[in-house]
Amino acid sequence: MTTHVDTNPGNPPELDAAADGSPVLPPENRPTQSTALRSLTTNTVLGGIGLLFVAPMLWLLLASVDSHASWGIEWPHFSLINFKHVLTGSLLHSLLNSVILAVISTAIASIAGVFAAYSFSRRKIPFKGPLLLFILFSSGVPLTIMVIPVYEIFARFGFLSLFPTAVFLSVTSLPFEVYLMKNFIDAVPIDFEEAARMEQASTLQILRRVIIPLAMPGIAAAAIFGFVNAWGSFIVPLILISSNSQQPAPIALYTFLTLPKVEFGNIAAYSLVFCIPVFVLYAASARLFREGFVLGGGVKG
Amino acid sequence: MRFDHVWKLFEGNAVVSDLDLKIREGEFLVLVGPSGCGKTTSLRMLAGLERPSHGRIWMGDKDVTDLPTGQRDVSMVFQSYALYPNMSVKKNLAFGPKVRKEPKKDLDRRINEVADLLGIRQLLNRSPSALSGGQRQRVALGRALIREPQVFLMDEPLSNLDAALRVQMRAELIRLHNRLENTTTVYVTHDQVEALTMGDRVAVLKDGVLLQVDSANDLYEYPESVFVGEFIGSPKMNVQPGSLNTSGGVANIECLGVRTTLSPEITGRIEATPSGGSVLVGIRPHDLHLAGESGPESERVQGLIDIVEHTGTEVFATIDVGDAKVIARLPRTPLPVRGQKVELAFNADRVLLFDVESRKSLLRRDSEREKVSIR
Repeated sequence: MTTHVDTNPGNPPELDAAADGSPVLPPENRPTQSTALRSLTTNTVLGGIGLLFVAPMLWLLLASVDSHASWGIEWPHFSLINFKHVLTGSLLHSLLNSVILAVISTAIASIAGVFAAYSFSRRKIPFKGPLLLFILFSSGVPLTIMVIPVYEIFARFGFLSLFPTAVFLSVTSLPFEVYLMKNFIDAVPIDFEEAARMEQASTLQILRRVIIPLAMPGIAAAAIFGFVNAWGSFIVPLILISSNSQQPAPIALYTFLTLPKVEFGNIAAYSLVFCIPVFVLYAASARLFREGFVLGGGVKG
Repeated sequence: MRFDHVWKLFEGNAVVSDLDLKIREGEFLVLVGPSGCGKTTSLRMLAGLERPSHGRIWMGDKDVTDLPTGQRDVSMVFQSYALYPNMSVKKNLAFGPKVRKEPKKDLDRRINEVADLLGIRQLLNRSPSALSGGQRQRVALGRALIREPQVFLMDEPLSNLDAALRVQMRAELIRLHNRLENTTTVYVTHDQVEALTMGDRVAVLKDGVLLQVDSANDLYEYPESVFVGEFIGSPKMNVQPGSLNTSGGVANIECLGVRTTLSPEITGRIEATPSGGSVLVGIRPHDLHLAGESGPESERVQGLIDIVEHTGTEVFATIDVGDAKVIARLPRTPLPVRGQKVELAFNADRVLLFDVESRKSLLRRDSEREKVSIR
């Protein structure tokens, strides 16, 4: 296929058919010089800012495989000794504690959150508006102002251990999760529910077979929020868990800094391992989010 | 099935007022009216999705007003279809039987039967998003059918389809209704053509009030009010002020500057002549035509064509007659053009007369016809 070359640039290109009747492409619209220069400047500035964020990550990667790691970014003496060291003994145990803490907290918050969000979305509740506002505001209350009174309560009832702390963490992520899930359930058309109700489906059946599958992206987003909230929480387990053997990974990570000699390689390796579950979670849910709502084809108009 | 003086109030506003309507077993009843007339609300009350504020709903000799939805023997096809997008067509069809814990062993057979009936057998494993509008419509019907209910409720099921498909599905729905003996269908639409073509009887609602329930033909021939006259039939009926005077068994009307004597058939049906003789005269566009060469001068009127609308088979023109605008059906040849002067006359045996105040019909029903419509 030949490209049409415009011989008189002052005039608009002729778009009429070629001799054999097939349509002809008009000339390509290339960027002008000034737009090219502008995009070069923009990209340089953005690249510079990006570098600031990449530097610590780079240190983390390099130091984790360096048997002589320091605080600077340097070419490593390759070795997996750091990983071997942090994946044994009490450090590994702390990671397991973190998993238990986060999983229990996520499960409780998600299940309770779905029921609450569904009720707020579909049922007539007196003072619903003010209640929802209260929930939204309470998601912004700083944990640090609650943790001392909660400590008093936990201490009195002998709750200063892993499981009660998981429950408390689930409660702290609940307000935001309820709000998030409610908005997603709101977006599920009421027709689905009415159709199911006309088939004699119970509320539980409607939730399990219709609402939850359709609001899944929102529920997953809320669950991930809850997981990350519990996984990364530092001050709450530090105060509420009395036994050292039940402390989760963030506290273990902190104890590295309290040792007489700071092992930078171990810190980097432990930090990387600590990141893995969150990475896996985001990667696994990416498909779910990309698909977004699966409402297409169900209702129209 | 019966609405027994049913009212539905939303925040003090009556959406449905004193609806008293008996639905016969096995009939195809269409509820029709402009948007906001309460037709969908009425249907939802039958389905049990809304509770009437006052009045009762009966199915057979059972009061179902307080029966929760799902426990009435009805199926509903939603305007949006409401197919569960997370399930395949087959699972959509199986949803109802599954939640009702009906025996699993003949479920496959039932699904296949319904799928064959609707011609969706090859679609069973697809997801709703992979279906065309007409196919979705069929799946939604299938989901209602599989319950084998006594009553089908349909809420504007064809409104999301394109025009050609709508005509095709209209015929399919009627065929389906005829196949399922003793199944009553209540069908809501805002489209008067759909209502007239599909309904055994058509109930016209306006502002929550039931105006008239009749067969399509009777609605067209004997509208009880100006609203029904205008709503049924396309293009809209012309309604113009006129005067009527009856003396010695002869009725003369004057309308649009035309003076004419009504046929004895219509004269015999006039119930009362309002004092002063002013009336509203309804003339269908099909009964308003070009005046022929013959005929007395007093029965013609001059007009100026304003707009010409060609519908393919017919040509309608909006014509200025004095200050009034009327719509008339004109011959296709010679094709009328804008600005053309024409002479109009109307069929004196086809006019409708309405009271100016109450806007109700002044004509009694033809006694012969009435017998037919009651059956």
